[in-house]
Amino acid sequence: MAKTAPIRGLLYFQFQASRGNALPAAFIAIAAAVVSVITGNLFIFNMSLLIAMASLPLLLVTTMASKNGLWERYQLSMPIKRGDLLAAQYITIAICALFGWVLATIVFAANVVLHPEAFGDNLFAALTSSAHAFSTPLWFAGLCFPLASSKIGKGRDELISSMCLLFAVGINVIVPMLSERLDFAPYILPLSAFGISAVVFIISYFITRNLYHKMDF
Amino acid sequence: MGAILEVQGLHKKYENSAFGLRDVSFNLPAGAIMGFVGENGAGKSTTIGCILNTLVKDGGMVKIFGKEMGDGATNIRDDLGVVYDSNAFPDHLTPDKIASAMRHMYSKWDDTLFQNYLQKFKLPEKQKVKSFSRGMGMKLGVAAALARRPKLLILDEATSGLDPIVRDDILDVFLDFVQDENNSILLSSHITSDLEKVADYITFIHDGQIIFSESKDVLIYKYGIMRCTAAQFAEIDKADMLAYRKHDYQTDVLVIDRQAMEQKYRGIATDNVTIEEIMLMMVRGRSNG
Repeated sequence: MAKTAPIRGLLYFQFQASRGNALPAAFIAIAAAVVSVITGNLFIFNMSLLIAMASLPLLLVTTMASKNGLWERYQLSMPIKRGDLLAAQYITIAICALFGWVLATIVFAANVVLHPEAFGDNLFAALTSSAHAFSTPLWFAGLCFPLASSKIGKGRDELISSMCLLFAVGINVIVPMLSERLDFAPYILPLSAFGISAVVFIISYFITRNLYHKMDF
Repeated sequence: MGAILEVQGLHKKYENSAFGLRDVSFNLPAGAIMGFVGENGAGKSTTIGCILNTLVKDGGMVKIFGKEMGDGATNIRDDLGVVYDSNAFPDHLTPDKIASAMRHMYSKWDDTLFQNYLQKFKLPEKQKVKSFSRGMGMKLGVAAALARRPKLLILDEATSGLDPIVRDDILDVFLDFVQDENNSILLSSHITSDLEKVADYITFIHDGQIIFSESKDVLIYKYGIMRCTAAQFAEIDKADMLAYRKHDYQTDVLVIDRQAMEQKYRGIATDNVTIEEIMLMMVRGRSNG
């Protein structure tokens, strides 16, 4: 009898199933990265990355939750536990976040090397912006998963995911603005938001896992 | 013959709905196909959801292979094949990608068997399932369910909406599957002709309650319908009636023991009964109670 690796199987399913929808978002982020490195313009990249990072988990979630949840129901008939299914979803989101963070870090590093006149003295602040790329999927999933799994979220999947998407993007736009207004060092609030998003994401997993055990699929 | 699936006293309620399962109980023996029938909304999918633990039951017990089914029962699910009423796989998957993932999920996943079924059902290996017709999607579901070498197949309206030729192909595959006397099938359907062809047992659910769970042969050869005039109907002992249905010029009476009734009421024509007629009489007719 072959040894099984259900989480690996679930991740493979998740990646293959959402590839068609998620690849364009990843492509936009990579194309914007290339343009940014060539031109030394970070604004276009920041905005594109933010949108891509917010879209990726949304696309993953909507792809997997299609057909009135029949796919989720089907997965639960496989030799997995409810917690495994949820863990695979959280791992996928964490991979999205890492992808954004690595991409942003590479772009900023390349910009510092290629355009030192523009970025040489602002490296740390630039790197904090890459924290946004990491935190956007975490904010989205950290809020969306428990809300969508709760009684409030029943039948309101699209509304909740849209609201969480707005929040995830909004917080990364508002925080830098607040930094300027409150006269904080530019990296304090973004780094705090990054840390809080990671904590919210982890707590959200445990809350959603608890909800999953009582949920009808 | 031991029961491969035991459902005892299953209860399930939904919020803001009067519908629910009430004390659903039946047993599926090894080596048998059980037809699970009932009209739309009778509770077939809810029962299957509770059996598979995709729905959280409010009470009762489900045992599969003698072990209680729950979230942690991954060993039981390793021996289960499930097919739903439409293609459950996400649109961007292809049959070969499904096989790649299933290899990690099932200890007995058989790639060769899966390939054989793809060829048998004429399914393209590298085509996305979103371009599959309904029939192709169902065949893919059946292939994926059988390639994990299950001992119990659970099919939730899996043959509904298919043309008779595809249905016939799939029913033949099911009959092959139960040639192994350790294998069983729970086949939920409202297409009673399919069940008459393949089922060994029929369990009938109506309004969340099991009306009967009986051998198909007993239903078809023992049950009967008496065709009565108004005067004949008035003579029939109410205790002999399971249900009756009045028409313009005739009253049909469903009885459990056709031969005994023929002896007892000699002037009344008594016919064999189909599963569909039994269903209609039990749902639309009036009971003697």
